[in-house]
Amino acid sequence: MISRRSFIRCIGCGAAVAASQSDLLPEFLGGVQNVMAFDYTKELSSVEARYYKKQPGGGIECGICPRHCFVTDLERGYCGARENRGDTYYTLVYGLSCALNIDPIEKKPLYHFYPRTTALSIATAGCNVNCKFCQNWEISQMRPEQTDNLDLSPRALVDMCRQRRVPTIAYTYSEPVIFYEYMYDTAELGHQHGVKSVMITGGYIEQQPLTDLLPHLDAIKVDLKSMREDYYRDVVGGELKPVLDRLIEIKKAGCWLELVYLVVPTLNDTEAEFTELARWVKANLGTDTPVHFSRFFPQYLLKNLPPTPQRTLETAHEICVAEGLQYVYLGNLRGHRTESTYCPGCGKILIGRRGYNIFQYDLNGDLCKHCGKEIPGHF
Amino acid sequence: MKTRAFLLGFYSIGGQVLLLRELVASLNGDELFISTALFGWLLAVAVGAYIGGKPNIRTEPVVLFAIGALVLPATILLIRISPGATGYLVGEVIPFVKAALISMVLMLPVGFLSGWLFPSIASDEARVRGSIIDVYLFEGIGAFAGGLAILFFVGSFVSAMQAAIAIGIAVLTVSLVLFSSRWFVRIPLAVAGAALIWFGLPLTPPVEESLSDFRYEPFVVEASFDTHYGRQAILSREGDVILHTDNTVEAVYPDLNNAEDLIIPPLAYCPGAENILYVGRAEFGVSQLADSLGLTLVAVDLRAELSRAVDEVLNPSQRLKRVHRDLFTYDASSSGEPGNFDVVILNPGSPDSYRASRFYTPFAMRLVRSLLNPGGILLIPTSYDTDRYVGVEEQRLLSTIMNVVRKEFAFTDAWPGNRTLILASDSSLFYIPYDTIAARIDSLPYRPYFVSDSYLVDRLSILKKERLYDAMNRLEDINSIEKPLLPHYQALLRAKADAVDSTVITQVVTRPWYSLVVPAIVVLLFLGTIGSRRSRGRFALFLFFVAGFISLSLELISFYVYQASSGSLYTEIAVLIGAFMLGLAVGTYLALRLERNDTAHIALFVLFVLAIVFLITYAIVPAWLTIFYHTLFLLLAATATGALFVAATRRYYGEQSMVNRGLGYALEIAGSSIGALFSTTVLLPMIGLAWLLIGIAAVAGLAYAGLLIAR
Repeated sequence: MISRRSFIRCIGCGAAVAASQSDLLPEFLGGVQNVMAFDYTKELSSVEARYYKKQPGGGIECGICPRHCFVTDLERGYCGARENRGDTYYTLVYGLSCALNIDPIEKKPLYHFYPRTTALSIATAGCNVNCKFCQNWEISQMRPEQTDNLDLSPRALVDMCRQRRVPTIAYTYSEPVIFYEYMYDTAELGHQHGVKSVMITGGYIEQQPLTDLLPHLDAIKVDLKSMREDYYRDVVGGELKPVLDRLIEIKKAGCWLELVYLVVPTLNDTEAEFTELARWVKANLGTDTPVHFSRFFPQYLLKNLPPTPQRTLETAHEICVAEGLQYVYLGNLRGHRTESTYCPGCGKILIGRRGYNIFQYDLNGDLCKHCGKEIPGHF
Repeated sequence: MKTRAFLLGFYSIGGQVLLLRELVASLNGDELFISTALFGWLLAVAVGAYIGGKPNIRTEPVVLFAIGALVLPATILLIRISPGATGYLVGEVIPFVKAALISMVLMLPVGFLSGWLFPSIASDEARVRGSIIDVYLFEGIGAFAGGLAILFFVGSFVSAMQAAIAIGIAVLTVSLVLFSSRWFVRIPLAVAGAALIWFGLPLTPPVEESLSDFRYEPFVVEASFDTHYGRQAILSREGDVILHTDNTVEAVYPDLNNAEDLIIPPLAYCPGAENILYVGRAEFGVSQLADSLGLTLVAVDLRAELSRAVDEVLNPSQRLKRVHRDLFTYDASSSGEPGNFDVVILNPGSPDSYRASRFYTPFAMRLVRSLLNPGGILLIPTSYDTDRYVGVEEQRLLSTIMNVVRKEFAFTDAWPGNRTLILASDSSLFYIPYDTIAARIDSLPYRPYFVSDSYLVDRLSILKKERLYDAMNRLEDINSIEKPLLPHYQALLRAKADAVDSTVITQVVTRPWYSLVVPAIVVLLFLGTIGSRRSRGRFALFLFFVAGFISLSLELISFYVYQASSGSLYTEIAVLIGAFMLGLAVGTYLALRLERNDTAHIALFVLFVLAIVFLITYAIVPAWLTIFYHTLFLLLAATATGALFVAATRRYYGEQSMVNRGLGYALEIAGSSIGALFSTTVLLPMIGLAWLLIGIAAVAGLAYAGLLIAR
């Protein structure tokens, strides 16, 4: 029979031995040790960011988007992709693409921009808003340390396009505004080598960076998420007004523009909103601006909402057409006539689409083959 | 006192089960959430028992029952409106940490009252230890009766809300009847209570319907009801019909994209397929599409009540054969269906719970393989989007699932996309070029839209397929009954969407050192009680804790193993719960009658042996014996626990009179809460079932050693 004191001593010795053999314990516990949420050892880029101001009392103010983050030393902006180091602001994602695909241009969707071609699509981690329905939240809402990144310089991207005969580079998936420098340099280099660039964006960007970038872009697709400021505040985490202002500026600059409106059931799917959208587009961008209504699929934080009913999308289409918009498209509906482009002059099919396939192409350059009407876009 | 103790057990188990069901349904809880909510409940009970047991606090049980009668249905009401009330949009996912906090807050009132009632009832008598043991015994019997009543009535005859109201009225009526000693008061009270239940319950559905309308607004609620397995709502909007299960979208009609994704890919590799077995709800487009392709479809899903409700809204195919069984107990040959299938579509949903993750084990793959014809195909549709990028969490999930499939099938394939598809076969069907796939799909009697060349040329591009294969080869983990990894991996993916969740879940799940909290608590409590001068009595506090910890851990392990190997069968789980509750009562009774000094020794020895025997035998039990095996195991484990509680009570309370009568019970519940939170939820995927059982046996051994020391 051992005494209480000796028993406690035994336990103490056992614990000490176990602690000294610390290599054994994690192995025993095994499980999910290979799981690493953050890999702080990953090497990030350190190219100086553009459009920021040093503040008199220390820290910097980022000027790339209307958020205007005030960032102190060793902190990052809202996007998580730009960091202040000793009051010099750096982009951490320059040349670090976390997604790389060759997509049909129709997938962006850009329907009036060189149909039947492909685009080398790239993205980096980070975003300047936080849409609750984001399809790409696993890269847009992450920091660059949390994604698997490819080391792809602007030169490498342009070379890849030329080798694979891909005519366009698309800055897409997450928000290209947050990898502005990478996008700008790639687009500029691409133009020098005959490679086009398109930006797929939420349009939440400051005026000056956009103005400087536009000469290097060939087309922009903007996700206009709603016509309501409260929706932008509550569901998107941004502001509507700067987006509307930038849309007008893009149009004025002559860069090809297409709009996408993601119809989220119960949140931005009323007839009044569709009408307001149509009227605003007509008044500010013109009736020849293509508008795509996209079907929502449960994603990210809105996983418990069902997909958008077909009837809702058809209502949106009817309203926009009735308001006078000429190119209104619905995506992801089986064999729907609204996938195709029709001539506003003669009403005939110009570009017949079925998914990403084009089964009919009745354009001569940018003119309707049947009535000769000029169709806006790049063909 | 005995009747009140019975009522306490009845009320307590009813509250626990109903609130847990509602919380899971409203906050779409996963495995971690269930254990956190259970932990919150048990903690509230422990605190209630401790506070209510203070010698200077004296409360009439009837007052507590009266409050409890109101609080239980009110809490259910609060749970149902909690997502909207806390500012979340309809359809928005509530992050884990916030959901866990909401659940703990909402569990608090009923749990606290249940805890408080224990010492309140025990203080009816002067005999301290006798009263505690009596309350424990009859509370166990009440819990047994309440558990069976809930299991058999809720979902079949009454909703959770109706059950809560009925329980409230019943316990209040009986306690009021007991409060009075005059028959002319008692009889009218009893009649009034019965009448209230009889006439009042039918008035509840309209109220619940209004509540559902409010909750799901702006959707139109076609039907909303409870099944044995959770809460269902059939909603509609703009012509679409939506099946909501526990507040998540399970299926939508029409959703051609989904239906084509499930039916067409196997036909691209196996064009002659005729018989399909579908595990899931087939009425939402899958059966209609199978019909237009001339296929025979057998759909296996447990929820018979749901079939009736769906039929009122949708027209499923006439060729659809529905089998309301669990796949694990589905015997194709005896049901009159074709014995083997050309295609099995396994669609159990994301593996966020052990109930779903059991379908992604080698055991389940062997079962599926036995249902397939030679050259047949298994399709597993996953919810992971790999079209543009494969995240770290998806890599982990997909490679673990793929490893399980590869373990049983010689040939596998995977399709990237917004929904990643895993295909498997015993034949080399997958080595065909893309053009053949497209041509075969084109030649089907139905011309697909989403799974056709229009989209497949992009979806199955070499770049995307290579990226997916690369992702699926990242890990060598296998999800198994012995070590179910997928719920943790799924929790990590879900947590990624919220910064706080990400930090908390990542810390808990990926840092194995956190699991040392449990042995640390056990050892500290052991040292704290054994090192005292009054150690003989105080060591009983450790025994209370051990009784709760071991019993709940073994109970959860048995449920888990049974469900993983035999399927989630409602009535059989009820038998297991019943056996456990009965065991507690039997153990208490036996220990009372035998009055032996070595009761604790025997109980701990039995628990030790049971853990070891279970470890050695659980995997080799023949299928036909499983239910008897687990029933016997739980009965014995609970009997030993009940006896241990009695022994601990005798040891601690002795002949004391001015003492906290709730302390022992509080510690037992605290042990249970630690067991609930850690054993199967946190530790099982980390260390595996074998080490977990060894750990439990070690705790029993430690307590036994303590008994020898602190004589």
